[in-house]
Amino acid sequence: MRHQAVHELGPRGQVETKLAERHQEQERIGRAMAGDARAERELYDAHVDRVYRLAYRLAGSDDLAQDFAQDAFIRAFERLKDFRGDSSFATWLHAITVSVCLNGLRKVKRFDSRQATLDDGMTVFDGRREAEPDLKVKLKQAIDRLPEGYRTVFVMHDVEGYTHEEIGAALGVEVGTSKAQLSRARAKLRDALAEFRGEWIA
Amino acid sequence: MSDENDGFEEWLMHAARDYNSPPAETPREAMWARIEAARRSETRETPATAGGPPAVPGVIEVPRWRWTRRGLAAAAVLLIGIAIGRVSNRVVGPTPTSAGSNTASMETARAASPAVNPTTAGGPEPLPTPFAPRIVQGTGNTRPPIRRDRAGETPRLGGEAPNVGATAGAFQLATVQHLAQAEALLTAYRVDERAGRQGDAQQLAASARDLLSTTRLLADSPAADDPAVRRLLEDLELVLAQLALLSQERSAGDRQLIDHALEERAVMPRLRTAIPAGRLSAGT
Repeated sequence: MRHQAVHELGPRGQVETKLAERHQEQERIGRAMAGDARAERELYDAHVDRVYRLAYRLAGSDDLAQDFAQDAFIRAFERLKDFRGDSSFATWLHAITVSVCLNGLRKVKRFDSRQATLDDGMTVFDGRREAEPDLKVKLKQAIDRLPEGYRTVFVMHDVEGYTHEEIGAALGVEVGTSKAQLSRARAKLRDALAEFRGEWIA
Repeated sequence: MSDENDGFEEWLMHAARDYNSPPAETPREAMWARIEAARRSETRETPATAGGPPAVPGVIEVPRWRWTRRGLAAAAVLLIGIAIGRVSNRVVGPTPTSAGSNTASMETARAASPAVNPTTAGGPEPLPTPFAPRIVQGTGNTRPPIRRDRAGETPRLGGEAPNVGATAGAFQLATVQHLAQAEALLTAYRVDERAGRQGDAQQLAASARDLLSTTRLLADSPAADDPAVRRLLEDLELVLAQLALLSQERSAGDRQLIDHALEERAVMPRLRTAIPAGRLSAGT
């Protein structure tokens, strides 16, 4: 509904709306910096959906996603005084979210390493020649097994729809690096899913 | 047909939409309640924690919890070593005459507290350092309680103790490592619980007991001079004590108690906040 209303405004109206939203956000940030709890809640409400979605996509479980999302907000509120406004608040917040998620997932992976090794062994043993391999399962496994950097860029770009500029800002890398990592991620997925080639060659 | 235009990328973007698909509803109120709890806890402690969490350069790698004992041993050795060094270098008053030999190791480690209570010290004047050893008299009854207002008990005479900064740094480092190990253990417990895995309860309880010992040691050391750290250690102590008593069956009641303690005291967010973060690439 809101998007529809914004589109009806025309290009100039859209720009004005965006400027107004940005101004409103700057005002909220200022109040939050001054210790206004209501402003913190407003910032939270404005961004929590996307933060939680991103955390969920990266973590793959509700509990971990909640942990990571709330941790990201706690850190963001604590470091709000460091926010200089060079990038948008959303970009800054998503950078914190990605950092929290990746650090948290590294720990979880270490705990699960034994389990993962077991799973890998099983996959190697009865993997490729399954009678009816489940494409969804294979795709999930293939994405899960991407190197961390590739997976993060892939999830942010191809799954969550972030631009390379946003990804670059969030990960602290050049736009070109983000594009290169996405390309490599896709190439690895193509190889991993080669047996399903008929699915995309129509 | 080349790989570039065979439709793979479009197909992939469409197929990957289901990857780790989040629920339609964001649990915003539940998360906000926990954020508020953690923030309240931090705010309560703000006056003494103006400097934020302990500053340790670089990323502290958390070892796997199976290696917890090794890490704990290192932390304990560090604490005990520092305390012994303090005792041997700085005790200038009369040596303790009534301290039993059985108080040697742990009491020496515990002695690495800032407190020298004039009523129990037996010496003519307080020792000139916040990390001076506490002289133990008798075999137990005279030991001061663990939780005290250290600031009111012992004057800080930092100018007379040139190694105080380095020692404080060592305690800080040991504390951060300990908190990271505790976080690792609690994360492992929660991951196992959520995955419905029983895990090795005995191993878990043993690790919790090890961490509990160090938690108590740290709570009675200069590391706990910071009220924020002290409160965190106290809350951690409670959770670890519950974990240490966890039976192989892991009854629902036991788990609820642990979960309740974790949630109510916002232990996990506070632990994560207390541990220096990894590299943040936030481009402010």
